[in-house]
Amino acid sequence: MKRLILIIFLFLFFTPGASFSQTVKDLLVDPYIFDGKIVEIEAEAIGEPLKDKDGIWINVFSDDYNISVFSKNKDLSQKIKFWGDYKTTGDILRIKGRFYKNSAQKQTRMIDAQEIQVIKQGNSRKEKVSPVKMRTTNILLVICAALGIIYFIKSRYGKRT
Amino acid sequence: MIISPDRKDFSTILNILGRLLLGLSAFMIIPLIVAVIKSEMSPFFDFAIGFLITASLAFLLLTLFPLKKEVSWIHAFFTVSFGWLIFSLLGAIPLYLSSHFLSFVDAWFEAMSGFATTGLILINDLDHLSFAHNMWRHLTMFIGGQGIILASLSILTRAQPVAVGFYFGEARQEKILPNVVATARFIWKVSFIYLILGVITFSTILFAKGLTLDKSIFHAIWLFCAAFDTGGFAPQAQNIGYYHSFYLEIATIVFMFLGALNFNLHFWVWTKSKKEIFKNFEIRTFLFTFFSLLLILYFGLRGLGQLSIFRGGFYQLISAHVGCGFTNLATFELNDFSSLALLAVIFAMMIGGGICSTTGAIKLMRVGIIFKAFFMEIKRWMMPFKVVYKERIHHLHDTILSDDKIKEAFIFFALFILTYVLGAVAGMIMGYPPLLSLFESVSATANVGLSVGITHPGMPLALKLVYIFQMWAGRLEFLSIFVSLGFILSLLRK
Repeated sequence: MKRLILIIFLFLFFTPGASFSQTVKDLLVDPYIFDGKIVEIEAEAIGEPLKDKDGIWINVFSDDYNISVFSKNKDLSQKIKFWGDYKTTGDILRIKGRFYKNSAQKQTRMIDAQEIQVIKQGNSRKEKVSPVKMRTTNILLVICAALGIIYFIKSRYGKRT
Repeated sequence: MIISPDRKDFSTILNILGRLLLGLSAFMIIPLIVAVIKSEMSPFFDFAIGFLITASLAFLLLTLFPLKKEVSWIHAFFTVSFGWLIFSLLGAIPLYLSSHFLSFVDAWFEAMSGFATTGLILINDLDHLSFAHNMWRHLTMFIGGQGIILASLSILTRAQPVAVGFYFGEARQEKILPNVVATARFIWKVSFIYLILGVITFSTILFAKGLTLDKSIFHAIWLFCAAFDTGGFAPQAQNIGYYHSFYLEIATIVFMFLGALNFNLHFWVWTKSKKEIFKNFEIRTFLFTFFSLLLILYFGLRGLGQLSIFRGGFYQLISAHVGCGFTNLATFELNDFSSLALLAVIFAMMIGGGICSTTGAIKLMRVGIIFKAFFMEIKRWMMPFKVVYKERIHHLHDTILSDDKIKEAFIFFALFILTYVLGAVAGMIMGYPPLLSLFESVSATANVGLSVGITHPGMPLALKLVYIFQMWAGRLEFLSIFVSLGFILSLLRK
């Protein structure tokens, strides 16, 4: 039974065109394993779509790791409403495409996207200001003003004598 | 006879530190304004706290510790070495408050990396960092690249004869103009002219790539600070690789190269002779070392296409050689380089850029002098015994290569090599492979910022502290730190 599972696994793994769900980290840590294979990842869209001669670049982020996704379909970026930044959590995308350790065409490590789906819509992040920070700022403001006044009084007095 | 500092000296040092901290607090107003412009409320309070703590400490020092002595070289060296530590600690406060760091040490590491223009990062989730915090991260590099202490002095005070002590204490070996404060102001002037050119160039490229106008301008300012001050930070986690722009890569190469040039050479080319660029000893040394290492890199990366070697290899090599640390590679991609290619990058990082520039490392002048001294020695053995033979170098003027210059070059060379090796040993003790440990150690000491993945929030605390020390010592080129430590030891002997 174990041997059968192993054979099925090896067959699926080494068959060109076979697709698996990976994490961005998997691709970056073991690029040789996935080079030239169809992969599927889920990650957050970051920043903005970046124009290229023959398509667009979408940078995605998942669990502290980033990867670039290239798509020939320039209209694709319109499907993505939210792009991650300080004030926004980007749309979570499911990306299926061919992973290149070092694309000869684009000279970079990337996924050449075949399908991109928005599986979870992002949102505007509500900014919370910690009350502790506000209180600390007020206290420091008083201390700083007091010390500043003492310094200026002292330096003036010093100049007179 | 060694001069030993007394209480009056410490009072004077703390007074100067107070003045400099006022300068630092003034710099913190810039991200505070950015937070207001971009309506980032939480970062606003982070910078308000950072500003108020720094300003309060400055007023406290100025009130409690009056200037009790004429400012001398001892005070300058103490202020430089400890000033950089205190600046990085205070500069870390708003970063730590951003919640993007696991601990205060991580934020301190990032701040030291910024001020020392290194570019190694421990930040989490950089892509979601605010504009204000990004402004501060990049501003630290701009302030650090110009020389924090001298930068503050040139803005805050009138010309003082002792400014020369601060100038040399911050690892600048040459004055451009007779007056050191005038030299500092010239450096600022050059930097601001390039800032305008850089921002126009970068923002045009970024806007064409699809960034909004305001974001293009902010990113352009930050990328300029990182390129010209050979820092290597970027506002996105993928560094330069985020933008996927060949033109941006070329533009960053131009500005990082300009930052790595001796400011004296800028002055000479701008005001005296353009031909100097072709005759200059540092430029010739750069061309020799860079193309030699490029050849090694080419063999190390053979198998990749020519264009991939150019974009992947050439870019990392020049970024390493000028001490910038920008990269267009994905995470861990550098680890795929062969050992030979990695060695080429390590050697490039070890050498660095011009003396009196924004780079760290051994520097081109010293490496060139060591090469010259080597060949001079061989020639001397081949000549009659009584012949006195001296080599010349052309750096702005023709000068004879004296024994003192050779001795100085070898001392700095030895100190850097020792620090590179000790840092590598520290990495190996923590369980990292030798070559990768050497890479990261050289990157920290030479203030480059390229990483093979050792620098990570999860790395051992001891190694974080070792790298902080290496960045600090490497940026100040040991001199002011050793002199300060010597004075402290002399106090213990009293």
